[in-house]
Amino acid sequence: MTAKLKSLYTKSIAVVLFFVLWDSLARFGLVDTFLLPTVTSMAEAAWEMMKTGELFIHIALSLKRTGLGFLVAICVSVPLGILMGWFQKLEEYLDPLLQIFRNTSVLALFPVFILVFGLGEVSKSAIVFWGCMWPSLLNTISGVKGVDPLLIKSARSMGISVPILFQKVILPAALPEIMTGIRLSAGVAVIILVAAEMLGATRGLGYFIFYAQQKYAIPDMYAGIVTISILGVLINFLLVKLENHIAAWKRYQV
Amino acid sequence: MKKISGFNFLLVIIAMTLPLVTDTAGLAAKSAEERELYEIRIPDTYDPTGVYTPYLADELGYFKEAGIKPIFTGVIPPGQHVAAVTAGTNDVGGMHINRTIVGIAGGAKIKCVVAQSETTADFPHMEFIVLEKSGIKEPQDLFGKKVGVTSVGGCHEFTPYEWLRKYTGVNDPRGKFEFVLVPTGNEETALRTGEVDVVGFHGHPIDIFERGGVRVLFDDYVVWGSVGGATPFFCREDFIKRNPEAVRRFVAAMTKTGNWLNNHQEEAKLVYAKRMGLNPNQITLMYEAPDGIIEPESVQMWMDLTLKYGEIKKAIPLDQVYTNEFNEYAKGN
Repeated sequence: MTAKLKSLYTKSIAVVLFFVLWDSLARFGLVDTFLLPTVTSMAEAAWEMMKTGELFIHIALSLKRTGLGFLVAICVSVPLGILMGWFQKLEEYLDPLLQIFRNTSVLALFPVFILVFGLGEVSKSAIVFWGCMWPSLLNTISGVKGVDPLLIKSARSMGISVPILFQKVILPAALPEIMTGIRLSAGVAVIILVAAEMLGATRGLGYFIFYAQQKYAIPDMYAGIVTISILGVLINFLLVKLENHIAAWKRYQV
Repeated sequence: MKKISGFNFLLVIIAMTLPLVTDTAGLAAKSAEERELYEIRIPDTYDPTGVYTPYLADELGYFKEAGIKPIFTGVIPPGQHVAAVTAGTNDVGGMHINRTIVGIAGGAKIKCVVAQSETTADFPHMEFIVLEKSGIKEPQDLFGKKVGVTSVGGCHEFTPYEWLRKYTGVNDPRGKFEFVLVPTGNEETALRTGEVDVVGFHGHPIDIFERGGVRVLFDDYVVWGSVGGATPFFCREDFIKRNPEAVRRFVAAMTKTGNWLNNHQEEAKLVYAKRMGLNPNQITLMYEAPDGIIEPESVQMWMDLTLKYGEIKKAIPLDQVYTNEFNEYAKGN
Protein backbone atom coordinates (compact mmCIF):
# COMPACT_ATOMS: atom_id res chain seq x y z
CA MET A 1 0.00 0.00 0.00
CA THR A 2 1.45 3.34 -0.96
CA ALA A 3 1.69 6.03 1.67
CA LYS A 4 -0.83 8.19 -0.13
CA LEU A 5 -3.50 5.52 -0.18
CA LYS A 6 -2.78 4.73 3.42
CA SER A 7 -3.32 8.33 4.46
CA LEU A 8 -6.51 8.50 2.43
CA TYR A 9 -7.73 5.41 4.26
CA THR A 10 -6.87 6.85 7.67
CA LYS A 11 -8.61 10.09 6.89
CA SER A 12 -11.79 8.67 5.41
CA ILE A 13 -12.50 5.45 7.29
CA ALA A 14 -14.33 7.06 10.23
CA VAL A 15 -16.44 9.20 7.90
CA VAL A 16 -17.28 6.27 5.64
CA LEU A 17 -18.18 4.07 8.61
CA PHE A 18 -20.37 6.84 10.00
CA PHE A 19 -22.38 7.10 6.79
CA VAL A 20 -22.61 3.31 6.47
CA LEU A 21 -23.86 3.10 10.05
CA TRP A 22 -26.39 5.89 9.50
CA ASP A 23 -27.64 4.32 6.30
CA SER A 24 -28.02 0.84 7.75
CA LEU A 25 -29.83 2.12 10.85
CA ALA A 26 -32.45 3.62 8.55
CA ARG A 27 -32.40 0.91 5.91
CA PHE A 28 -32.96 -2.01 8.26
CA GLY A 29 -35.71 -0.28 10.19
CA LEU A 30 -33.74 0.23 13.40
CA VAL A 31 -34.81 3.85 13.42
CA ASP A 32 -37.92 5.34 11.88
CA THR A 33 -37.05 6.71 8.44
CA PHE A 34 -39.37 9.61 9.20
CA LEU A 35 -36.79 10.74 11.74
CA LEU A 36 -33.64 9.57 9.98
CA PRO A 37 -33.90 8.82 6.26
CA THR A 38 -31.41 6.65 4.42
CA VAL A 39 -28.27 8.33 3.14
CA THR A 40 -29.28 7.46 -0.40
CA SER A 41 -32.68 9.17 -0.14
CA MET A 42 -30.92 12.23 1.26
CA ALA A 43 -28.44 12.15 -1.62
CA GLU A 44 -31.35 11.86 -4.05
CA ALA A 45 -32.99 14.92 -2.52
CA ALA A 46 -29.72 16.83 -2.77
CA TRP A 47 -29.28 15.74 -6.39
CA GLU A 48 -32.79 16.92 -7.26
CA MET A 49 -32.05 20.32 -5.75
CA MET A 50 -28.77 20.52 -7.63
CA LYS A 51 -30.50 19.75 -10.90
CA THR A 52 -33.00 22.54 -10.42
CA GLY A 53 -30.21 24.82 -9.21
CA GLU A 54 -32.19 25.55 -6.03
CA LEU A 55 -29.41 24.32 -3.78
CA PHE A 56 -26.85 26.67 -5.33
CA ILE A 57 -29.12 29.68 -4.86
CA HIS A 58 -29.36 28.84 -1.17
CA ILE A 59 -25.61 28.26 -0.90
CA ALA A 60 -24.76 31.51 -2.69
CA LEU A 61 -27.01 33.59 -0.46
CA SER A 62 -25.80 31.92 2.71
CA LEU A 63 -22.17 32.37 1.71
CA LYS A 64 -22.79 36.05 1.07
CA ARG A 65 -24.36 36.54 4.50
CA THR A 66 -21.81 34.52 6.45
CA GLY A 67 -18.92 35.89 4.41
CA LEU A 68 -19.87 39.47 5.11
CA GLY A 69 -20.52 38.93 8.82
CA PHE A 70 -17.33 36.90 9.20
CA LEU A 71 -15.06 39.34 7.35
CA VAL A 72 -16.33 42.36 9.22
CA ALA A 73 -15.95 40.47 12.50
CA ILE A 74 -12.34 39.58 11.71
CA CYS A 75 -11.56 43.14 10.62
CA VAL A 76 -12.81 44.36 13.99
CA SER A 77 -11.73 41.58 16.33
CA VAL A 78 -8.12 41.08 15.22
CA PRO A 79 -7.02 44.75 15.46
CA LEU A 80 -9.00 45.16 18.67
CA GLY A 81 -7.47 41.97 20.03
CA ILE A 82 -3.96 43.17 19.21
CA LEU A 83 -4.60 46.46 20.98
CA MET A 84 -6.10 44.73 23.98
CA GLY A 85 -3.28 42.23 24.11
CA TRP A 86 -0.68 44.98 23.99
CA PHE A 87 -2.24 47.63 26.22
CA GLN A 88 -2.95 45.83 29.48
CA LYS A 89 -4.95 48.77 30.82
CA LEU A 90 -7.28 48.71 27.85
CA GLU A 91 -7.94 45.04 28.39
CA GLU A 92 -8.64 45.57 32.08
CA TYR A 93 -11.27 48.18 31.21
CA LEU A 94 -12.91 46.42 28.28
CA ASP A 95 -12.69 42.77 29.28
CA PRO A 96 -15.69 42.66 31.68
CA LEU A 97 -17.99 44.22 29.09
CA LEU A 98 -16.75 41.93 26.34
CA GLN A 99 -17.20 38.90 28.59
CA ILE A 100 -20.83 39.90 29.10
CA PHE A 101 -21.32 40.34 25.37
CA ARG A 102 -19.67 37.06 24.59
CA ASN A 103 -21.89 35.14 26.96
CA THR A 104 -25.12 36.69 25.69
CA SER A 105 -27.12 34.35 23.50
CA VAL A 106 -27.75 35.53 19.97
CA LEU A 107 -31.18 33.90 20.04
CA ALA A 108 -32.15 35.92 23.08
CA LEU A 109 -30.94 39.07 21.35
CA PHE A 110 -33.31 38.72 18.39
CA PRO A 111 -35.54 41.63 19.49
CA VAL A 112 -32.49 43.92 19.68
CA PHE A 113 -31.29 42.83 16.26
CA ILE A 114 -34.74 43.48 14.78
CA LEU A 115 -34.89 46.85 16.49
CA VAL A 116 -31.47 47.97 15.31
CA PHE A 117 -31.01 46.15 12.00
CA GLY A 118 -34.56 45.32 10.94
CA LEU A 119 -35.36 42.11 9.13
CA GLY A 120 -33.33 42.70 5.98
CA GLU A 121 -29.94 41.39 4.92
CA VAL A 122 -28.04 43.48 7.46
CA SER A 123 -29.62 41.73 10.44
CA LYS A 124 -28.50 38.28 9.25
CA SER A 125 -24.91 39.36 8.72
CA ALA A 126 -25.04 41.20 12.04
CA ILE A 127 -25.91 37.98 13.84
CA VAL A 128 -23.05 36.16 12.11
CA PHE A 129 -20.80 39.08 13.03
CA TRP A 130 -21.81 38.82 16.66
CA GLY A 131 -21.11 35.11 16.82
CA CYS A 132 -17.78 35.41 14.98
CA MET A 133 -16.36 38.23 17.06
CA TRP A 134 -15.49 36.38 20.22
CA PRO A 135 -13.33 33.37 19.31
CA SER A 136 -11.00 35.44 17.14
CA LEU A 137 -10.93 38.33 19.60
CA LEU A 138 -10.05 36.17 22.59
CA ASN A 139 -7.47 34.17 20.66
CA THR A 140 -5.83 37.31 19.33
CA ILE A 141 -5.61 38.80 22.82
CA SER A 142 -4.07 35.69 24.28
CA GLY A 143 -1.79 35.29 21.25
CA VAL A 144 -0.38 38.79 21.63
CA LYS A 145 -0.13 38.51 25.42
CA GLY A 146 1.56 35.18 25.14
CA VAL A 147 4.50 36.32 23.00
CA ASP A 148 7.70 35.34 24.79
CA PRO A 149 8.84 38.50 26.69
CA LEU A 150 12.42 37.47 26.06
CA LEU A 151 11.86 37.94 22.33
CA ILE A 152 10.37 41.38 22.89
CA LYS A 153 13.13 42.43 25.26
CA SER A 154 15.91 41.30 23.00
CA ALA A 155 14.30 43.05 20.03
CA ARG A 156 13.95 46.21 22.09
CA SER A 157 17.52 46.06 23.28
CA MET A 158 18.42 46.40 19.62
CA GLY A 159 16.57 49.74 19.60
CA ILE A 160 13.74 48.59 17.38
CA SER A 161 10.73 50.91 16.86
CA VAL A 162 7.26 49.79 17.97
CA PRO A 163 5.81 49.35 14.46
CA ILE A 164 8.76 47.19 13.44
CA LEU A 165 8.50 45.29 16.71
CA PHE A 166 4.91 44.43 15.83
CA GLN A 167 5.70 43.56 12.28
CA LYS A 168 8.80 41.46 12.94
CA VAL A 169 8.23 39.94 16.36
CA ILE A 170 4.77 40.17 17.86
CA LEU A 171 2.59 39.44 14.85
CA PRO A 172 4.58 36.46 13.59
CA ALA A 173 4.72 35.00 17.09
CA ALA A 174 1.02 35.52 17.72
CA LEU A 175 -0.08 34.50 14.25
CA PRO A 176 -0.71 30.80 14.88
CA GLU A 177 -3.07 31.58 17.72
CA ILE A 178 -4.77 34.37 15.76
CA MET A 179 -5.32 31.96 12.89
CA THR A 180 -6.79 29.38 15.24
CA GLY A 181 -9.20 32.05 16.47
CA ILE A 182 -10.16 32.94 12.92
CA ARG A 183 -10.81 29.30 12.13
CA LEU A 184 -12.97 28.93 15.22
CA SER A 185 -14.86 32.05 14.14
CA ALA A 186 -15.39 30.61 10.67
CA GLY A 187 -16.86 27.50 12.27
CA VAL A 188 -19.24 29.60 14.33
CA ALA A 189 -20.18 31.60 11.22
CA VAL A 190 -21.41 28.49 9.48
CA ILE A 191 -23.21 27.07 12.49
CA ILE A 192 -24.93 30.32 13.42
CA LEU A 193 -26.33 30.62 9.91
CA VAL A 194 -29.38 28.58 10.84
CA ALA A 195 -30.23 31.03 13.62
CA ALA A 196 -29.45 34.06 11.46
CA GLU A 197 -31.71 32.94 8.66
CA MET A 198 -34.66 32.63 11.01
CA LEU A 199 -34.76 36.42 10.84
CA GLY A 200 -36.83 37.40 7.87
CA ALA A 201 -35.20 35.11 5.32
CA THR A 202 -36.92 33.58 2.32
CA ARG A 203 -33.83 31.91 0.89
CA GLY A 204 -30.56 30.51 2.16
CA LEU A 205 -29.44 27.19 3.62
CA GLY A 206 -30.50 27.98 7.18
CA TYR A 207 -33.92 29.06 6.00
CA PHE A 208 -34.14 26.00 3.78
CA ILE A 209 -33.48 23.61 6.68
CA PHE A 210 -36.16 25.30 8.77
CA TYR A 211 -38.53 25.28 5.81
CA ALA A 212 -37.96 21.58 5.05
CA GLN A 213 -38.42 20.75 8.71
CA GLN A 214 -41.74 22.58 8.88
CA LYS A 215 -42.91 20.78 5.76
CA TYR A 216 -41.65 17.38 6.94
CA ALA A 217 -39.49 17.05 3.85
CA ILE A 218 -37.02 15.14 5.99
CA PRO A 219 -34.53 13.99 3.30
CA ASP A 220 -34.39 17.61 2.05
CA MET A 221 -33.73 18.80 5.57
CA TYR A 222 -30.78 16.42 5.99
CA ALA A 223 -29.49 17.40 2.57
CA GLY A 224 -29.41 21.00 3.82
CA ILE A 225 -27.73 20.05 7.09
CA VAL A 226 -25.02 18.00 5.38
CA THR A 227 -24.47 20.79 2.84
CA ILE A 228 -23.79 23.21 5.69
CA SER A 229 -21.37 20.73 7.27
CA ILE A 230 -19.51 20.25 4.00
CA LEU A 231 -19.36 24.01 3.55
CA GLY A 232 -17.88 24.36 7.04
CA VAL A 233 -15.27 21.68 6.35
CA LEU A 234 -14.29 23.32 3.06
CA ILE A 235 -13.92 26.75 4.65
CA ASN A 236 -11.79 25.29 7.42
CA PHE A 237 -9.64 23.50 4.84
CA LEU A 238 -9.05 26.73 2.94
CA LEU A 239 -8.15 28.57 6.14
CA VAL A 240 -5.65 25.88 7.11
CA LYS A 241 -4.05 26.26 3.67
CA LEU A 242 -3.93 30.01 4.16
CA GLU A 243 -2.43 29.60 7.61
CA ASN A 244 0.30 27.30 6.29
CA HIS A 245 1.01 29.85 3.64
CA ILE A 246 1.34 32.94 5.80
CA ALA A 247 2.82 31.23 8.82
CA ALA A 248 5.46 29.53 6.74
CA TRP A 249 8.15 30.52 9.24
CA LYS A 250 6.82 27.91 11.63
CA ARG A 251 8.28 25.15 9.49
CA TYR A 252 11.79 26.51 9.94
CA GLN A 253 11.54 26.59 13.68
CA VAL A 254 13.64 24.20 15.65
CA MET B 1 -3.73 -10.72 5.56
CA LYS B 2 -3.79 -7.21 6.89
CA LYS B 3 -3.88 -6.94 10.62
CA ILE B 4 -6.85 -5.05 12.07
CA SER B 5 -5.53 -2.26 14.25
CA GLY B 6 -6.95 -1.62 17.69
CA PHE B 7 -8.49 1.63 16.58
CA ASN B 8 -10.37 0.12 13.67
CA PHE B 9 -11.53 -2.68 15.91
CA LEU B 10 -13.00 -0.08 18.25
CA LEU B 11 -14.91 1.51 15.38
CA VAL B 12 -16.43 -1.82 14.47
CA ILE B 13 -17.50 -2.45 18.06
CA ILE B 14 -19.18 0.96 18.26
CA ALA B 15 -20.94 0.30 14.97
CA MET B 16 -22.27 -3.01 16.23
CA THR B 17 -23.57 -1.83 19.59
CA LEU B 18 -25.29 1.36 18.48
CA PRO B 19 -28.51 -0.27 17.26
CA LEU B 20 -28.98 -1.79 20.71
CA VAL B 21 -29.24 1.55 22.43
CA THR B 22 -31.64 3.14 19.99
CA ASP B 23 -34.79 1.15 20.77
CA THR B 24 -35.33 1.89 24.43
CA ALA B 25 -38.08 4.40 23.73
CA GLY B 26 -40.95 1.92 23.80
CA LEU B 27 -40.21 0.63 27.29
CA ALA B 28 -42.11 3.19 29.31
CA ALA B 29 -45.34 2.60 27.45
CA LYS B 30 -45.11 -1.15 27.87
CA SER B 31 -44.66 -1.09 31.62
CA ALA B 32 -47.58 1.31 31.98
CA GLU B 33 -49.84 -1.50 30.81
CA GLU B 34 -49.56 -3.34 34.10
CA ARG B 35 -50.29 -0.38 36.31
CA GLU B 36 -53.53 0.92 37.64
CA LEU B 37 -52.88 4.38 36.30
CA TYR B 38 -51.73 4.80 32.74
CA GLU B 39 -48.78 7.09 32.41
CA ILE B 40 -49.11 9.33 29.41
CA ARG B 41 -46.26 11.58 28.35
CA ILE B 42 -47.60 14.95 27.22
CA PRO B 43 -45.57 17.94 26.03
CA ASP B 44 -45.72 21.15 28.04
CA THR B 45 -47.11 24.15 26.23
CA TYR B 46 -44.91 26.76 24.62
CA ASP B 47 -47.57 29.42 25.14
CA PRO B 48 -48.07 30.12 28.86
CA THR B 49 -51.03 32.45 28.39
CA GLY B 50 -53.19 30.31 26.09
CA VAL B 51 -55.33 27.73 27.86
CA TYR B 52 -53.75 24.31 27.41
CA THR B 53 -56.35 21.66 28.10
CA PRO B 54 -54.00 19.00 29.55
CA TYR B 55 -53.00 21.44 32.33
CA LEU B 56 -56.65 22.19 32.91
CA ALA B 57 -57.52 18.49 33.02
CA ASP B 58 -54.75 18.03 35.57
CA GLU B 59 -56.02 20.91 37.72
CA LEU B 60 -59.63 19.72 37.55
CA GLY B 61 -58.62 16.17 38.47
CA TYR B 62 -60.04 14.76 35.25
CA PHE B 63 -56.90 12.81 34.43
CA LYS B 64 -56.94 11.10 37.82
CA GLU B 65 -60.61 10.40 37.47
CA ALA B 66 -60.03 8.78 34.08
CA GLY B 67 -57.15 6.70 35.43
CA ILE B 68 -54.29 8.59 33.86
CA LYS B 69 -51.09 9.92 35.30
CA PRO B 70 -49.94 12.74 33.06
CA ILE B 71 -46.21 13.20 32.74
CA PHE B 72 -45.34 16.59 31.33
CA THR B 73 -42.15 16.31 29.39
CA GLY B 74 -41.15 19.91 28.90
CA VAL B 75 -41.83 22.39 26.16
CA ILE B 76 -41.59 21.00 22.65
CA PRO B 77 -41.87 23.50 19.78
CA PRO B 78 -45.11 22.79 17.89
CA GLY B 79 -43.14 21.93 14.78
CA GLN B 80 -41.40 19.10 16.66
CA HIS B 81 -44.50 17.41 18.11
CA VAL B 82 -44.74 14.94 15.24
CA ALA B 83 -41.06 14.06 15.58
CA ALA B 84 -41.29 13.69 19.37
CA VAL B 85 -44.28 11.37 19.15
CA THR B 86 -42.79 9.38 16.28
CA ALA B 87 -39.55 8.98 18.21
CA GLY B 88 -41.55 7.67 21.17
CA THR B 89 -40.37 10.33 23.61
CA ASN B 90 -43.95 11.55 23.93
CA ASP B 91 -47.19 9.61 23.77
CA VAL B 92 -49.35 12.46 22.54
CA GLY B 93 -48.78 15.63 20.62
CA GLY B 94 -51.13 18.19 19.24
CA MET B 95 -50.95 20.92 16.67
CA HIS B 96 -52.87 22.17 13.71
CA ILE B 97 -54.34 19.35 11.65
CA ASN B 98 -52.59 20.54 8.49
CA ARG B 99 -49.13 19.92 10.02
CA THR B 100 -50.24 16.48 11.15
CA ILE B 101 -51.48 15.67 7.65
CA VAL B 102 -48.18 16.75 6.11
CA GLY B 103 -46.31 14.73 8.75
CA ILE B 104 -48.33 11.62 7.96
CA ALA B 105 -47.76 12.18 4.25
CA GLY B 106 -44.04 12.43 5.06
CA GLY B 107 -44.13 9.00 6.65
CA ALA B 108 -44.97 9.62 10.32
CA LYS B 109 -47.01 6.72 11.71
CA ILE B 110 -49.40 8.75 13.83
CA LYS B 111 -53.14 9.22 14.07
CA CYS B 112 -55.39 11.90 15.58
CA VAL B 113 -57.64 10.64 18.37
CA VAL B 114 -59.37 13.63 19.95
CA ALA B 115 -60.07 17.20 18.90
CA GLN B 116 -58.87 20.24 20.78
CA SER B 117 -59.78 23.73 19.61
CA GLU B 118 -62.39 24.75 17.10
CA THR B 119 -62.67 28.15 15.46
CA THR B 120 -65.60 30.37 16.41
CA ALA B 121 -66.24 34.03 15.65
CA ASP B 122 -65.12 34.87 19.19
CA PHE B 123 -62.18 32.48 19.34
CA PRO B 124 -60.42 32.30 15.99
CA HIS B 125 -57.44 30.03 15.47
CA MET B 126 -55.41 32.79 13.84
CA GLU B 127 -55.61 36.56 13.72
CA PHE B 128 -53.72 38.76 11.29
CA ILE B 129 -53.03 42.13 12.82
CA VAL B 130 -52.04 45.53 11.44
CA LEU B 131 -51.24 48.85 13.07
CA GLU B 132 -54.31 51.02 13.69
CA LYS B 133 -53.03 53.68 11.29
CA SER B 134 -52.14 51.19 8.57
CA GLY B 135 -53.60 51.79 5.13
CA ILE B 136 -54.37 48.10 4.76
CA LYS B 137 -58.13 47.75 5.15
CA GLU B 138 -59.44 45.62 2.32
CA PRO B 139 -58.15 42.26 1.09
CA GLN B 140 -56.74 43.84 -2.09
CA ASP B 141 -54.65 46.22 0.05
CA LEU B 142 -52.52 43.21 0.95
CA PHE B 143 -50.98 42.99 -2.53
CA GLY B 144 -47.26 43.71 -2.41
CA LYS B 145 -47.18 43.97 1.37
CA LYS B 146 -45.04 42.13 3.92
CA VAL B 147 -46.72 39.56 6.14
CA GLY B 148 -44.75 38.43 9.18
CA VAL B 149 -45.22 34.83 10.30
CA THR B 150 -43.28 32.68 12.75
CA SER B 151 -43.22 29.63 10.56
CA VAL B 152 -43.87 28.60 7.00
CA GLY B 153 -46.51 26.30 5.60
CA GLY B 154 -49.96 25.38 6.83
CA CYS B 155 -52.25 27.89 8.44
CA HIS B 156 -49.58 30.63 8.40
CA GLU B 157 -49.56 30.58 4.62
CA PHE B 158 -52.96 29.29 3.64
CA THR B 159 -55.06 31.62 5.79
CA PRO B 160 -53.92 34.80 4.00
CA TYR B 161 -53.87 32.95 0.66
CA GLU B 162 -57.46 31.82 0.98
CA TRP B 163 -58.57 35.18 2.35
CA LEU B 164 -57.27 36.80 -0.82
CA ARG B 165 -58.64 34.10 -3.06
CA LYS B 166 -62.10 34.28 -1.54
CA TYR B 167 -62.45 38.04 -1.30
CA THR B 168 -60.47 39.39 -4.25
CA GLY B 169 -61.06 36.70 -6.84
CA VAL B 170 -57.32 36.09 -7.42
CA ASN B 171 -56.90 32.52 -8.56
CA ASP B 172 -53.40 31.91 -7.29
CA PRO B 173 -52.58 34.21 -4.37
CA ARG B 174 -49.02 32.91 -4.06
CA GLY B 175 -46.44 35.63 -4.62
CA LYS B 176 -49.02 38.43 -4.42
CA PHE B 177 -47.51 39.50 -1.12
CA GLU B 178 -44.30 38.66 0.70
CA PHE B 179 -43.90 36.38 3.70
CA VAL B 180 -41.26 37.40 6.21
CA LEU B 181 -40.06 34.98 8.86
CA VAL B 182 -40.21 36.51 12.32
CA PRO B 183 -38.87 34.55 15.30
CA THR B 184 -41.59 33.61 17.78
CA GLY B 185 -42.10 36.31 20.39
CA ASN B 186 -40.80 39.05 18.10
CA GLU B 187 -43.98 39.57 16.10
CA GLU B 188 -44.95 42.75 17.90
CA THR B 189 -41.49 44.31 17.52
CA ALA B 190 -41.49 43.53 13.81
CA LEU B 191 -44.92 45.09 13.36
CA ARG B 192 -44.31 48.21 15.43
CA THR B 193 -40.91 48.92 13.88
CA GLY B 194 -42.53 48.72 10.45
CA GLU B 195 -40.43 45.77 9.33
CA VAL B 196 -43.64 44.01 8.34
CA ASP B 197 -47.08 45.41 7.46
CA VAL B 198 -49.14 42.56 8.84
CA VAL B 199 -48.34 39.96 11.45
CA GLY B 200 -50.02 36.60 12.06
CA PHE B 201 -50.86 35.35 15.55
CA HIS B 202 -52.36 32.19 16.92
CA GLY B 203 -55.29 33.07 19.11
CA HIS B 204 -55.85 36.60 20.30
CA PRO B 205 -52.75 38.37 21.68
CA ILE B 206 -54.38 40.20 24.59
CA ASP B 207 -51.24 41.96 25.76
CA ILE B 208 -50.55 43.53 22.37
CA PHE B 209 -54.09 44.85 22.17
CA GLU B 210 -53.70 46.23 25.67
CA ARG B 211 -50.68 48.21 24.56
CA GLY B 212 -52.94 49.46 21.79
CA GLY B 213 -52.53 50.92 18.36
CA VAL B 214 -53.38 47.71 16.53
CA ARG B 215 -56.44 46.16 14.91
CA VAL B 216 -57.44 42.82 13.48
CA LEU B 217 -57.32 42.78 9.68
CA PHE B 218 -58.89 39.36 9.36
CA ASP B 219 -59.03 36.02 11.13
CA ASP B 220 -59.51 32.44 10.02
CA TYR B 221 -63.22 32.55 10.89
CA VAL B 222 -63.96 34.99 8.07
CA VAL B 223 -62.03 32.71 5.74
CA TRP B 224 -63.41 29.29 6.62
CA GLY B 225 -65.98 29.57 9.39
CA SER B 226 -65.63 26.95 12.09
CA VAL B 227 -63.60 24.34 10.20
CA GLY B 228 -60.37 26.33 10.07
CA GLY B 229 -58.81 25.82 13.44
CA ALA B 230 -58.77 22.13 14.30
CA THR B 231 -55.78 21.06 16.39
CA PRO B 232 -56.43 17.44 17.41
CA PHE B 233 -54.15 15.39 19.65
CA PHE B 234 -52.44 12.48 17.98
CA CYS B 235 -50.65 9.34 19.15
CA ARG B 236 -48.27 6.95 17.52
CA GLU B 237 -50.12 4.16 15.71
CA ASP B 238 -48.38 1.34 17.54
CA PHE B 239 -48.99 3.09 20.86
CA ILE B 240 -52.71 3.10 20.03
CA LYS B 241 -52.53 -0.57 19.11
CA ARG B 242 -50.73 -1.54 22.31
CA ASN B 243 -52.61 0.73 24.70
CA PRO B 244 -56.15 1.24 23.42
CA GLU B 245 -57.38 1.61 26.99
CA ALA B 246 -54.88 4.37 27.74
CA VAL B 247 -55.97 6.21 24.61
CA ARG B 248 -59.64 5.79 25.54
CA ARG B 249 -58.99 7.23 29.00
CA PHE B 250 -56.97 10.13 27.63
CA VAL B 251 -59.72 10.94 25.12
CA ALA B 252 -62.35 10.77 27.87
CA ALA B 253 -60.37 13.14 30.10
CA MET B 254 -59.80 15.60 27.27
CA THR B 255 -63.42 15.66 26.08
CA LYS B 256 -64.63 16.20 29.62
CA THR B 257 -62.16 19.06 30.05
CA GLY B 258 -63.09 20.59 26.71
CA ASN B 259 -66.80 20.53 27.47
CA TRP B 260 -66.20 21.95 30.94
CA LEU B 261 -64.06 24.73 29.49
CA ASN B 262 -66.75 25.74 26.99
CA ASN B 263 -69.31 26.04 29.79
CA HIS B 264 -67.13 27.61 32.48
CA GLN B 265 -64.96 30.14 30.68
CA GLU B 266 -64.52 32.63 33.50
CA GLU B 267 -63.86 29.90 36.02
CA ALA B 268 -61.40 28.30 33.62
CA LYS B 269 -59.40 31.51 33.50
CA LEU B 270 -59.12 31.51 37.29
CA VAL B 271 -58.09 27.86 37.51
CA TYR B 272 -55.62 28.26 34.71
CA ALA B 273 -54.14 31.52 35.94
CA LYS B 274 -53.53 29.92 39.31
CA ARG B 275 -51.63 27.05 37.76
CA MET B 276 -49.51 29.33 35.61
CA GLY B 277 -48.99 31.99 38.28
CA LEU B 278 -50.54 34.61 36.02
CA ASN B 279 -53.26 37.21 36.25
CA PRO B 280 -56.64 35.81 35.02
CA ASN B 281 -57.06 38.62 32.50
CA GLN B 282 -53.81 37.59 30.82
CA ILE B 283 -55.27 34.22 29.86
CA THR B 284 -56.40 33.62 26.29
CA LEU B 285 -59.29 31.21 25.98
CA MET B 286 -60.02 28.80 23.18
CA TYR B 287 -63.24 27.20 22.19
CA GLU B 288 -62.98 23.41 22.28
CA ALA B 289 -64.63 21.18 19.71
CA PRO B 290 -67.84 19.90 21.33
CA ASP B 291 -67.32 16.40 22.80
CA GLY B 292 -63.83 16.33 21.29
CA ILE B 293 -65.18 14.96 18.03
CA ILE B 294 -62.83 15.36 15.08
CA GLU B 295 -64.87 16.70 12.17
CA PRO B 296 -64.27 15.00 8.81
CA GLU B 297 -65.01 18.24 6.91
CA SER B 298 -62.15 19.98 8.67
CA VAL B 299 -59.68 17.19 7.94
CA GLN B 300 -60.86 17.02 4.34
CA MET B 301 -60.56 20.76 3.84
CA TRP B 302 -56.96 20.86 5.09
CA MET B 303 -56.12 17.78 3.05
CA ASP B 304 -57.38 19.62 -0.03
CA LEU B 305 -55.46 22.78 0.86
CA THR B 306 -52.15 21.04 1.50
CA LEU B 307 -52.61 19.26 -1.83
CA LYS B 308 -53.52 22.44 -3.64
CA TYR B 309 -50.51 24.37 -2.35
CA GLY B 310 -48.20 21.45 -3.03
CA GLU B 311 -47.25 20.49 0.54
CA ILE B 312 -48.30 16.91 -0.05
CA LYS B 313 -48.15 15.06 -3.33
CA LYS B 314 -51.23 12.87 -3.06
CA ALA B 315 -54.21 12.66 -0.77
CA ILE B 316 -54.17 10.29 2.21
CA PRO B 317 -57.29 8.31 3.17
CA LEU B 318 -59.05 10.19 5.98
CA ASP B 319 -59.10 7.14 8.25
CA GLN B 320 -55.32 7.17 8.17
CA VAL B 321 -55.33 10.70 9.60
CA TYR B 322 -57.86 10.45 12.41
CA THR B 323 -60.27 8.24 14.27
CA ASN B 324 -63.10 9.00 16.67
CA GLU B 325 -63.38 5.36 17.76
CA PHE B 326 -61.90 6.04 21.21
CA ASN B 327 -64.40 8.81 21.87
CA GLU B 328 -67.48 7.59 23.72
CA TYR B 329 -69.51 10.50 22.34
CA ALA B 330 -68.84 9.29 18.81
CA LYS B 331 -70.50 5.92 19.40
CA GLY B 332 -73.47 5.44 17.14
CA ASN B 333 -71.98 7.66 14.43
